[in-house]
Amino acid sequence: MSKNNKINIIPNSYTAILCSNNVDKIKLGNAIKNKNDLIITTNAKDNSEEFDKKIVNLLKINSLMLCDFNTLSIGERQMVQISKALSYNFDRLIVVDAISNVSTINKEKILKYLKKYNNKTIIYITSNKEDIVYFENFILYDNKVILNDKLSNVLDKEKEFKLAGFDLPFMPLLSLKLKYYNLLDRPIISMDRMVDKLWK
Amino acid sequence: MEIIIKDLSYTYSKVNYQEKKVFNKLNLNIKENINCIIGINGCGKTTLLDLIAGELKSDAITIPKRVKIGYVKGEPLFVTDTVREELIYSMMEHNYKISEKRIIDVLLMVGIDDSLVDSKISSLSLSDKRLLSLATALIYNPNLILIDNFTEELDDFNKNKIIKLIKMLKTRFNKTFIIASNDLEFVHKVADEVFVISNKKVALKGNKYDIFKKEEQLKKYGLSVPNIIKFENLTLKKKNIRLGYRDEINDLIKDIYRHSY
Repeated sequence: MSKNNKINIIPNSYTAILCSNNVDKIKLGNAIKNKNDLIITTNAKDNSEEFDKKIVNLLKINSLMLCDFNTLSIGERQMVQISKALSYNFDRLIVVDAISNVSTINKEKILKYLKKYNNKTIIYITSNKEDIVYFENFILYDNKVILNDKLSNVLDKEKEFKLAGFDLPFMPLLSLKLKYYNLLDRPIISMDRMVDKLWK
Repeated sequence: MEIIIKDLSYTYSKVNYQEKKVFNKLNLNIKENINCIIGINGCGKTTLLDLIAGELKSDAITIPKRVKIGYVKGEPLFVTDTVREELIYSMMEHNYKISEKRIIDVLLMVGIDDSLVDSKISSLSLSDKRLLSLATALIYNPNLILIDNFTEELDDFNKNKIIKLIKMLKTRFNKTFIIASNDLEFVHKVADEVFVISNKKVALKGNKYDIFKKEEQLKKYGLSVPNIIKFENLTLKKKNIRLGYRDEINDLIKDIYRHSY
């Protein structure tokens, strides 16, 4: 990564990096990794016996922790891996596509669970635009940094998202289109709030 | 073409795996459509595809003899070094006459630039690798295509490219698809029929609208629904306004506009 294309990660915060498929996400993860960072990549194998009991209970995967890793589906492996990774001490955690195959409800639980690490730095690298709404800082990357800001400041940047091969996430896109029809004045992420705002 | 699965029970034996019962008397008829299989992680989506493809054995699955199967996996395993070699290998493997024109045609069909024909596979992007694995199946002209975990980790541009390609292959070339996926937004955009696997059986089956409007039932099976359907269901639940089930956000906007005045 060149110096004039530096990715700026704010310490002790949650940052999502949305990458197009022109980017090798594992290489990007390694490029931003510092010496003591913990990095989890897709389908990685961790032979450690330790795991974070809280997330195992949350995901209801207690029985999977005893299984032979090779007999698990990709999504199951990813849940086991993140549970093991979260048992380590870390200051910065880099998650590279490591929960891409986890079914939606469990993925949502994991993304919400990561927010409990409020004195740690969490960096989440993904190609799934819907995942970014769980983070406070946002970087859009397509072989160069296109956006690097607070998430709330980028949710109307449709042109920049398109440039990197993405639509806006569903709720910001809906907000933007409703704004165009004068039905809404600003982006709303919560579906409940939007329905209430539209039909008072 | 109809694939009939009758009373399928399947258990991974203790030889290579810990014993695990995956299916218990599962029944399913699959017709000429874009069929999608959904279910929580580990419910047996990939196992079902492996069984239909014949990679795992079962007498409970009846496939007409004239059906030729192509199996495309999300983590493709390539056996040669270059794009051209891989496509030639696939043609040879299926006793298909080797043709340079067919190699270029199939690359263009899946949307890989033909200038990449002599490229090293290792140098391709993830989406091009996946498109190549689809091309290695299409090159021997199967009429049933199985696709497993294909769009997870892809950006929207490439995902939309794959959705258009699958729909085109169905309408223009009459291909039947069985797709296993955890990506419900993709399933919603591509599927005609959806099968939900839960507790070792097919728990729900029907067209995608019938399946996805059953949000509460899907939740019991550990599944959510695509965002556009979630919004429509929530509007009905909270405001008693029926927006209709739409595929595209622009159609949803028109419905919202219509119900706002």
